[in-house]
Amino acid sequence: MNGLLLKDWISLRTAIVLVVIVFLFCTALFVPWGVSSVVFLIGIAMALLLPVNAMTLDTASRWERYVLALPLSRREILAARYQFAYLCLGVVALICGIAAVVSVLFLDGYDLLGVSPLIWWTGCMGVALLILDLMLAVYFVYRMNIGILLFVVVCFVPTLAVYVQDLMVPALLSPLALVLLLAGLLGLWISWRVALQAFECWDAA
Amino acid sequence: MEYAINVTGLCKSYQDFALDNVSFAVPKGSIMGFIGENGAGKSTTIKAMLNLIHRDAGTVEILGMDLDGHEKEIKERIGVVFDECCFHDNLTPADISKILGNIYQNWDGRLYQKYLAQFGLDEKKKIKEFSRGMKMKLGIAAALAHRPDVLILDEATSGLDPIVREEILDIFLDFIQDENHAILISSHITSDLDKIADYLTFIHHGRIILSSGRDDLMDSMGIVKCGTEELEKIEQDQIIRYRKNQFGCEVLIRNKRSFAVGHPEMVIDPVTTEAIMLFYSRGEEL
Repeated sequence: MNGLLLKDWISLRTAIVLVVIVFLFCTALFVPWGVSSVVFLIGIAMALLLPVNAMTLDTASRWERYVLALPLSRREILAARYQFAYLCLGVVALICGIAAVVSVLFLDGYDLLGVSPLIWWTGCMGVALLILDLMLAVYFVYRMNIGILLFVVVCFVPTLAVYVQDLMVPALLSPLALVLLLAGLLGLWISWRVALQAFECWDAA
Repeated sequence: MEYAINVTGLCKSYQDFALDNVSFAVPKGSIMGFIGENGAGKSTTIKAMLNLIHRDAGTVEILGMDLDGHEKEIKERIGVVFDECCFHDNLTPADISKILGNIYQNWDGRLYQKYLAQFGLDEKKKIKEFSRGMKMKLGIAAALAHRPDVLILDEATSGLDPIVREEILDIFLDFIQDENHAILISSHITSDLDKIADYLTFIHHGRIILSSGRDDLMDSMGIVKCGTEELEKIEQDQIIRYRKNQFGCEVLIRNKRSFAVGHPEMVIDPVTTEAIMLFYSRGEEL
């Protein structure tokens, strides 16, 4: 299974380096101004792009068929795909988490709507988890890569937020963020079960 | 006789196609050519043999192990080459070695490099810069580098020029020098199979029409060219299939020796793999 993670790393290393540079640049740009939440959103989009690219490459090169002929179980193949996706998100979550802590410790600790960056971080990571859960489950059940669609949705969230800002009550954001994070974690389990069941029955084209 | 591959009663149904009770066996130390027209079921059979698709019925034994119970062990000991290169375009052959070296327990990086050198493939060059022939050679190098006992090749030589094909066929012949090795090769290019195959299995509309030693087939079968009146004089049990043309008809004869005794006036031509395939797929039965 390590071979599959290595394959994703090798095929996407240029993109990964580029994503990390852009992301760190955005972090340095936004965090000092007390808008870490924007960085979190950019982070989600970036974390989404890498597994989307990995899956697109697998489909385009017919690797999906080849990998089934290798001495790996379907569970291992699926696990590698999930590991890569959540590893990307994990790295983003770590950098964003550090940014949130730095913001709390050294920069007053308030972000948009006067809410703590830690709450924004919790909510954003919950949303990111939910998006990955959905994307991976849909991919393995319907063989449809909806990653780009979700990426576009994520990119439009700030625009949407402007219109629904009256509904965003700061006091409610804290429990909402927690609910999103818990839903994202629960969604990961559901997504894995659904995808595994579908992938075990899948016939290579 | 010990078999490297033993497929029994394989069935798989789709809406518009079905594999119907496919059975054949590849003895150790031999090459079996798996032939049939497009859509006959060759690739579907190979996919079912590798658990790439789920079988409705049937068993697959490779190297004496049942595929369902020993899938990983079997896949450690087989090399597979598909009709298309399955590696990402931006990888290099050196990257492939790193990746597959982390998947196969017996991956031999030096052997892989030896094959790359033999095939004239640059380790550092990206796959997107390779021609189709080079990609196929890379696939074969990758399939051989973990020292498999069985090679399963699905149209691995299609689209290659004759020189590259010849080179690859030599590698297959070399591979089979070890009596414990075996190759199953599906191909449209029957001339390739005439050069290397010890056995032939012919599939037509999802059913195995014949599976036999190639030499036995060539020794026993023959082609007789005759007029339609002469066709009626030939014993029915001798005629496998016949094809009519503007000059009369061609008949695929079951046993050319006994036929020659009964019909000394008729000329019997030798058969080729292609002729057998054409008679079975386009010829008529009496």
